[in-house]
Amino acid sequence: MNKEVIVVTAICGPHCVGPDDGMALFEKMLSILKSGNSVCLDFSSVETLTTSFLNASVGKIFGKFDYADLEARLQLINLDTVDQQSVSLVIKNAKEHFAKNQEIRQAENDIVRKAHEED
Amino acid sequence: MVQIRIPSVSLESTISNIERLLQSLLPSYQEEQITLDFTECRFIAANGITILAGMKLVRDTKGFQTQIDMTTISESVKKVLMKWRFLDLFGQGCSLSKGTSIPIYVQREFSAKEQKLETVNYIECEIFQRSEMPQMSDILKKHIKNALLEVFGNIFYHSNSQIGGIVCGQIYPNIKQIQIIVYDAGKGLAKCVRDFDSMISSDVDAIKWALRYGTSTLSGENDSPRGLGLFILDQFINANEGEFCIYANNGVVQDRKDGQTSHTLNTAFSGTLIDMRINIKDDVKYILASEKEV
Repeated sequence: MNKEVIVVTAICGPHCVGPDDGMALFEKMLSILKSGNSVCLDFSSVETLTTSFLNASVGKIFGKFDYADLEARLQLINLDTVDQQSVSLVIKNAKEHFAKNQEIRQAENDIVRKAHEED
Repeated sequence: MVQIRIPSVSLESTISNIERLLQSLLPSYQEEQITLDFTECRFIAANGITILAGMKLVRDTKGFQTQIDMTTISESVKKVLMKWRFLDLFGQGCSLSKGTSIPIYVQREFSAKEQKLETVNYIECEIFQRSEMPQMSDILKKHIKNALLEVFGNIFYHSNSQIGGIVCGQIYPNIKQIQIIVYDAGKGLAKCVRDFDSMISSDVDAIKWALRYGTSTLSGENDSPRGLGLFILDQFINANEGEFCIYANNGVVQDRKDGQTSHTLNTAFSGTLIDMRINIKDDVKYILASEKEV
């Protein structure tokens, strides 16, 4: 198994702010991971990183592979403290999102809506 | 030609002020020719200016004519309108110093790298690099930039706004605070949520739903986790002890240090406006929900 490094700025530029940019990164990660290799995302020189970008790239990949497999084959480097916080939140959200099916998500929404109505 | 009398929009009692402004602007949706009359306007805050700018740009897209009766504007209000570059929208630019105002920025589209870079440059030049801006740490700068870009980017992925997005604001150097307003003239956040989930019974509840962790109105085959942008904004502003107010359709939700309040507008708001007040304080550890219990 080889490790392929993706320099994020080479695909998305220094401002990674939208799901369209995130999708481009997702496609690249997907093709490498499908080939059996591991991926190292290098965020050096990334100046702006939003959760909408991360959801469409790093978050979305959690719907395609087993979590344990990803933990072994996906590495993210050169993130500062603020970006690390965003990445952790996105991964947590992605794991929860893909662990639930549509019925559970709808049931959760119903519970919250009823709580609001009772306020 | 219909005359629209613009009321004052002061910094205090903002919601009732905004409601009065929205009521005054009702004819602007239908009338092909209007003149803005500032006789009754003694002061106008950044959120009021943003709404007026949005109204003008929406009318432009319809080919409607909007004029200002300059004879009705007091010198002090004129100065304010110039500092925010509002009069530029009417072809009356000026070289007056911006002072502590963060001038109006309009971005019609946000898909090309150049458009994103232009927005980042606006944030850098018109907010962070201003001599009026109090010193702040790089971490706080990054949080502010990310929060603003999350909210601004959402306009282009959710709102279907025909004028794109508008940003405007104010620096308060003495109290070390900045106000940033992001506006779109799209469908409105509350309507988007209620179209997604028809069981949500009010616009206020719809805004509260959108602030929750992991909620989004986008779903379908392209199944990707979403819904963290407004949640992160909420988390950041709370940690910062700042405040924000979201106006969408008939709902208003305001989040302050002393808690969340809501209000129902009698006059529907066209689109979504997010009014953020951020303290320039670095003695705070900005912990997001990834490190806390959600």
